[in-house]
Amino acid sequence: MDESTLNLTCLQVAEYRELGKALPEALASHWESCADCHAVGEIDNLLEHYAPPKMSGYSRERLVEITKPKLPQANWWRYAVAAALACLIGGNLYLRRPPAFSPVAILPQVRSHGSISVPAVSLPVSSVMVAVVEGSCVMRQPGQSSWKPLHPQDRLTPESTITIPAKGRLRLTYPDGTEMVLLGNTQGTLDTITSSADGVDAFFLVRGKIFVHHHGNPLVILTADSAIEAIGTEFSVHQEKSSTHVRVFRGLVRVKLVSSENSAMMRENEELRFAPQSKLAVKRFGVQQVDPWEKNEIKVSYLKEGRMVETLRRVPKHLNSPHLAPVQRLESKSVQSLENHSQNYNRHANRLETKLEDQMKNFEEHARKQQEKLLEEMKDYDQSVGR
Amino acid sequence: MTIPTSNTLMLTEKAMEQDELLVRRLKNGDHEAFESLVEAYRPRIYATLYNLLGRYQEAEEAIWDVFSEIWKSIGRFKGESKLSTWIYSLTTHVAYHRRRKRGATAIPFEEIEPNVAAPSNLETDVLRHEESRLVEKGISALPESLRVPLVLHSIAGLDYEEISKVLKLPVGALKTRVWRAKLELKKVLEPWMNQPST
Repeated sequence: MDESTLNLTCLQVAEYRELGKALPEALASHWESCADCHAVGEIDNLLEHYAPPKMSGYSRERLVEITKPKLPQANWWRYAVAAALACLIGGNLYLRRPPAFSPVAILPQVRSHGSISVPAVSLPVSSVMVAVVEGSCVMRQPGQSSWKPLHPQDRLTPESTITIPAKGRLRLTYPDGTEMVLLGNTQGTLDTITSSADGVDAFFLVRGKIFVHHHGNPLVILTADSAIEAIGTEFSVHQEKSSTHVRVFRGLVRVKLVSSENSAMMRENEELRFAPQSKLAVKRFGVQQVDPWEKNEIKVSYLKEGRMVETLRRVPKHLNSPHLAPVQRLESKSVQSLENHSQNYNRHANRLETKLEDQMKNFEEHARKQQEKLLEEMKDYDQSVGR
Repeated sequence: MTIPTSNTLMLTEKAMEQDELLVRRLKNGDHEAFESLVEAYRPRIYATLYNLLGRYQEAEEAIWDVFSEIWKSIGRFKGESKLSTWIYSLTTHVAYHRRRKRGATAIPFEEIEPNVAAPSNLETDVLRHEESRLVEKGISALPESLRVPLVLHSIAGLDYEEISKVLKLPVGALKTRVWRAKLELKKVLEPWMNQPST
């Protein structure tokens, strides 16, 4: 018997014994004569009585340690240098708390925003509420790795990260009435900025585009390169791959670069596109250039009202959207619009009738003139022949 | 091959449901679920690590690496295999990593430490039992390719299908390796089996 056959038979014996089954006759005879099978059998008996070792005990503190969100270690020397610089320059020192456990982006841990000053306020971040959700928007709470779907009336905790899918849209409401609309493909984290004295609501925009309708309490939009402070305004921030685009529709916005001391004040109808090292050159934009969606408006050109409503009717979910409430009102106008179509038809028919009548009159006139002319010609002929 | 009875099927289904529930709770960051998972798997994971690493101190450190890895990576567990399979693949990964870091392939036979850190006298007695000591010594002296399948099968209690998923080896090859491991173990222990322990 060669080695492979022996192994196979031995393996069959081992399998039968492991399952606790009686060996068939052929295998039983092999078992009687095979030394290897007996050796394995002895080890099986040993392993059966083998008591696996036990731990000396475990501490629940260790479990807590494992499950505790781990904050990145602070570089104390960076804080010290920044504090010293802030004292020398005379500016305020802003420290940004890094997102807990799994940061969405690596940010400089020390931010000096120089001349931006904010009044002392309580931290209202904990009561930011989700007003409207479109699409499968998701949120990840600090210290957790799983994403949860967002629903209207959800309350967001500080340092929650929000992600909006390509076809999604989310509207957040702050307690002071400030509204923030996050458009598709946007990601950001609810945050606070702590200065030497106070805390301020902040939103760290990782990517995508947001629209802010600001009231009351100070609010700072942070991007990787800048801090954009809202001062009773309505504005949008678009974080592109290598640049940031800010547009102000109402009020004032102050933009401050993180990498330099450059800052710029933006007023109504002004826009600014900047990269980390670029100069801040504010430009004016025409009101016509404003994307109507940024102002929750639908703009239609060269399209009859009735035709537009018919188009919207084909996608009824749009009519159910709270963003299109004014359009729903338009729907009632559509009836008038459709009636106008029949009115237009009647008017057109009337116009055609009038035209036909006119043509008939013209024809009659022409016929009458022709008849008169013919009669005159007949009279002239009679006179010439002496009748 | 055994034909599963309706009872065993029901038990398997129930266990799978419990696993699913546990995973869902873990993914939501439930600390209590994590604690119950630790309670359930700690003894077997520790025994596996101890027999793979050969040093109880190292096993006690490594077990926290395993649980830490479970907590961090549970979000990536897609449920394509059993939870236990996934946990034992993490365990073997941690053990491999530790052994590679240590740089030694096997601990010399005489240096195998008996597990003396058991909390009660009874357990100490059991652990000091000659047979257990011999088995521990013998397993640690085996080459890694034989030791890992043997430990996962005979000590962790995984079936061949599960070990096949953990080690990414065919079931037939695993059966041969376990059989060979037992034969090697017998050879290693042969001189010691009839002598009193020193």
